[in-house]
Amino acid sequence: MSSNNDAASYESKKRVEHTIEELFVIYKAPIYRFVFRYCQDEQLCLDLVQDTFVKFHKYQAYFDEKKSNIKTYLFRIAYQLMINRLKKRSRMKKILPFLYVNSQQQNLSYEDKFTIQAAIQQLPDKQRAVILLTYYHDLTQKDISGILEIPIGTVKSRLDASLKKLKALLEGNK
Amino acid sequence: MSNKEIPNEIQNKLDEFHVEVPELPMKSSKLERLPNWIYGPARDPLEILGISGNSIGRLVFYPLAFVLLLFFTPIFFI
Repeated sequence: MSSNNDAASYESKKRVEHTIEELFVIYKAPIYRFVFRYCQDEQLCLDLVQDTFVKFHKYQAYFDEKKSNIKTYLFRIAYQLMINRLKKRSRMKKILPFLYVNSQQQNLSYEDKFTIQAAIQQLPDKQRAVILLTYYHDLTQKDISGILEIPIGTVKSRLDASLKKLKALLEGNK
Repeated sequence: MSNKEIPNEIQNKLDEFHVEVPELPMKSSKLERLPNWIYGPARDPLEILGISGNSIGRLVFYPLAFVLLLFFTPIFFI
């Protein structure tokens, strides 16, 4: 009986791990692209993608298919991890400023300031996430509100504001 | 608002932002991440002293000033 339980548990574990591996293959690239476009730090993004799946593995039991889909769930985990990591980094930067290089924006040349990468980086954090998820990941406003944990109305207003700001930045009218 | 409602000029600009996804394993231990942290870009510690690549004068002066200060400090305690 015990060996049957062990076998069942092993099978279940194997199935779950297989599923996570499949999910990793499918979603690693979209998650990496999202976090990279948001923070533009390669090493941080690599760690974040791995941490997302480690956290998913840990909290998989809390995932409810009826409430959200797997893509939204993984993006929400990645977004929360990224925000926490960036906050931690910002606190550390205040305490130990000599350990951190100057922000990318200060080192940009005149021409580089009008590239899309720089424009996205200059958007306020809350607006940046909305436009990235809308345009590059083709997510609905309902999904975005689930990922960012904000009302749909706020998603709409932030998207509108981000487009106006982006247009102004790209035209050089700050 | 969907993608189609985003103005074409902004869509064209957004399309310019390509991201290459590097090969990445599913998990990496903290020990494997440590070298990335150690070798990550850091601020130049000599920046505060205004020492750049070709300012040899300052590079020589600051240690010399430090050594002299260290040498003459005991005089004030006599």
